[in-house]
Amino acid sequence: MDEFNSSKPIYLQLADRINRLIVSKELKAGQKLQSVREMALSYNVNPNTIQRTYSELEREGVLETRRGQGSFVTEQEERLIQLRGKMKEEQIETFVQVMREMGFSSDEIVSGLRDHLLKMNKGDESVDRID
Amino acid sequence: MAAWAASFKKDFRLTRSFFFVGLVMNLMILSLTLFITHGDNLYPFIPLLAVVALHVFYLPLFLFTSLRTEAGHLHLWLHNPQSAAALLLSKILNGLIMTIISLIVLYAMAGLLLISRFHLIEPHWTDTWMAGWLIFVHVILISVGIGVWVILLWSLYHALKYRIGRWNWLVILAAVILPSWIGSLFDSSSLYKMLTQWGSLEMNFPTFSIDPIPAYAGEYLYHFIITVGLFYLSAWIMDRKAEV
Amino acid sequence: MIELTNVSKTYKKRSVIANISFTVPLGKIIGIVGENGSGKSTILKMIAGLLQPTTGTVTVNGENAHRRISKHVSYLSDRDSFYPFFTVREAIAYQASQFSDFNLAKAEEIMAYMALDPDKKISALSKGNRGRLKIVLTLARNVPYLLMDEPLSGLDPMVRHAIVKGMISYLDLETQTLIMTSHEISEIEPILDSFIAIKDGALVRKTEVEHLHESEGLGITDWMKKAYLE
Repeated sequence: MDEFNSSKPIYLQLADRINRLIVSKELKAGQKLQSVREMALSYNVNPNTIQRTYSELEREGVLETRRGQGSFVTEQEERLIQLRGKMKEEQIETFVQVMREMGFSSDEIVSGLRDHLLKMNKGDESVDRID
Repeated sequence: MAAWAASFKKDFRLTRSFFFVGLVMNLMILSLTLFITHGDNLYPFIPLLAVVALHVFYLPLFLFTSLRTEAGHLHLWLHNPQSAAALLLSKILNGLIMTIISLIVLYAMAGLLLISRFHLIEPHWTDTWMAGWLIFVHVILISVGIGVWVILLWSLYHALKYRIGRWNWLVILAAVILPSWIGSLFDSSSLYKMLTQWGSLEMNFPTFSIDPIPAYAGEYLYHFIITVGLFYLSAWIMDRKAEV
Repeated sequence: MIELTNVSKTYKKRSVIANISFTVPLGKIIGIVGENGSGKSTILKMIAGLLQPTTGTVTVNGENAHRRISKHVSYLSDRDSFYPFFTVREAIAYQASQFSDFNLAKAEEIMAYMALDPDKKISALSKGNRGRLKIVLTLARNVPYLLMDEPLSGLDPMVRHAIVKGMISYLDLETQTLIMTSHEISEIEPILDSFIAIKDGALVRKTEVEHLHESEGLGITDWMKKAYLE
């Protein structure tokens, strides 16, 4: 969890992690984030790096900093929907790129994905039934 | 001031075993004296007097011990905002207090031995009393004079140790020999006499069969200035040039 | 600001630092990395005013670095830094008496965080606890520049982790800069703003860690493996 990939700036990796938390609603619209120092401690990184992450997310409109109060997830619904779309797009892009490199065709990717999702859903239902 | 007081206490703890060993040695010498000498004579005072005279090396030895202990973790002593003069004075004062206590113990021992032998020196009592005081003061003055040289050589060593390697010791040797040679040349010059031979403090002991000892206030002042000068030179070297 | 200008240091005839120049502003955590004997400790000692450059100048806030620069600089040695007769509490009290900027409340806090027993004699402390105490004594000063020579060396992973956390918690990056040397690069890399790489007394590189990640896709260790073998 605390390990970072050294091929990419840590502040961007952290921004990515926060974006995921927002999309998965673990961080809700309008919710206050940890202070810079608290965040630095929970990820074991330089407070200046956290500051940079927050500034970057603020620049992108995902966070809002209120003077003297801290950083909050934006309450602008539109921006959050946009973020959700962007994160989805990025993940799919990575996935597709890997599949393409291995030589899978578009049809193979789509049918494979559909089968996988069907299997997963069935698994979920069987769990539901036991409950 | 609080910083200096804390250094003073720390310096005492750093060197207190030196002090206690010194006191034990005093007691051992007294017992040895009593063990060897017998009868109604003044012989027991000879070893005591010798030990008192050796106290001119008490402060220099003390300073050497204390500084050598600090040299084991020099950054600890020198990474400190107090001036080197203040740091050194803490050690010197510690050493002086120990010297004085040790001398008082010796004098008290002499006093105890004297009670039963007082009749032997009764005719010389005033002179003896006077000589005792003068010896006490001069032992301390001389020990400070030598002690300052220990400090100067120590600071020179730590300023030069990374620069000139094995020639270091020669330089330090030269630092002792050259000034003392020049000093002794100067001491016999007429300029020195002109500068220092004022304010006669001739010491006269009429009941002892010795000539009066000549002494001048100017000489004391001259040595005082030299000692203070060497002290500040050492402090300057420590503040600006010493390396850990 | 700390400024080294064309600094060289020669011990007897052996050159240890060769013509190094760099500046360090306030508000940063900087790592000095390099092989054993590459001159890392020498650089820190020169900034602390405990060594004098053979040529060149070292200044802290515009003042030439002599030993009394210690009023602006808190220095942690890689050697044992204690009078062994002190207890932990006495060592802290002594440090507080010597440095007017020493923050006793902060020291108590760090001491508690590091789980140090204040009544224990230093001569009876384990290596790990002595390492912790050094951090307490150095980090509790409200001083602009902190220099730490191998603060993690020889300590077990738990202690190293606690010390790194302590640095994040108690360093005030609005008013302070920390420069440290370390061999435990992977442990300090996430908390470094920049690093200064030294090889045989010469400066190989000084750059922001994030810049290295971004431009070359490398961590410090991987970069060093490349750069030092060439």
